[in-house]
Amino acid sequence: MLPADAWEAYEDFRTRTLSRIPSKLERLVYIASTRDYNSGIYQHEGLAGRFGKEAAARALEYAHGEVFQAVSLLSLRRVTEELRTYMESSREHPTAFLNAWQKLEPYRVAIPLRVDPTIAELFISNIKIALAVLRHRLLETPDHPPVALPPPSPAPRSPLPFRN
Amino acid sequence: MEYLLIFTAVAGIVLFVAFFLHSTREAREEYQGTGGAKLEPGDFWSDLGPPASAAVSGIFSSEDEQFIVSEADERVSALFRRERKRLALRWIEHQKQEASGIMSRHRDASRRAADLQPANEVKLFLRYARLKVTFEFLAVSVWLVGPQRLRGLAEEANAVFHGMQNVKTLRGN
Repeated sequence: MLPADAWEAYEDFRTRTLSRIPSKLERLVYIASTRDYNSGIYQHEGLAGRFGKEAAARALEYAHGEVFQAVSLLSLRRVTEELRTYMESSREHPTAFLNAWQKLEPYRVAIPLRVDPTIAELFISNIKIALAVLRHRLLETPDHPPVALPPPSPAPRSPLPFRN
Repeated sequence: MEYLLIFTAVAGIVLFVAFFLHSTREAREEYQGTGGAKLEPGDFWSDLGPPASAAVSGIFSSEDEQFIVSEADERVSALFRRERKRLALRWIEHQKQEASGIMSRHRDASRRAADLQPANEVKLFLRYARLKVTFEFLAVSVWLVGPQRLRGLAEEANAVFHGMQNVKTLRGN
């Protein structure tokens, strides 16, 4: 169980930030983006300013685990819909998005540090299959563009909201 | 003489099966009594997150299979079948190792125990034996028909597995 200050930070984060992100997958990617790749420590300036760095980090870790659990245990249909929503909100070209996600597998960084390996494998597997489904749907579209990669975006575009 | 031997063998098998089924039913009831390891919103895990058993419904889901079939693409279907088979076998192996770990720790504790309870020992052994047989059968079946038609069996194995953990917990090992 979380200590009182971390719990308060978590509640604040959940109501003020997470509730504004419509899909579960977007929430997961957003929380994972607050984690430092090198140290594995979660950082959120707004939350740390109000509740302290440690409480904020623990709250984010907790939220990460909870959202990851929710996404991992979704049905394949729901995962595919979540991924489609996320792809559309990214405003990237679908072909470019699918190429990047299938080749680079960036969704692996969305896995929390402390998670049962079977659950993590189920998550990875579901995303792989959902990507294959979206690729198939794209190819089935009568006017789908050529499969070549479009030129890279001039600036990073993220569907994720700002951190507050 | 032969009739006596046959009668004894049949009686032994019947008693064994009866005890076995009784043990399994108890395990399932105990598991349900603990809430069936269902994850409620707001629950959080102690160390490694939700247990591997939470993945059963996803790995063995026939709903997912129906969704894939509705997409009508052979390559996607092949990927789905391959992935689910791999995950199911991995899950079975994981649970088998967990069960072996429980038994191994239990044996160590039993050697030091002053108040060994034979009834509990027999109960645990039978559950373990049943679990091993179920997991072996499940693994072969997954290979043959894929995991989607085996959710009931997987959930039953899960229940017996949690029953084993409960026997361990009750004895304080």
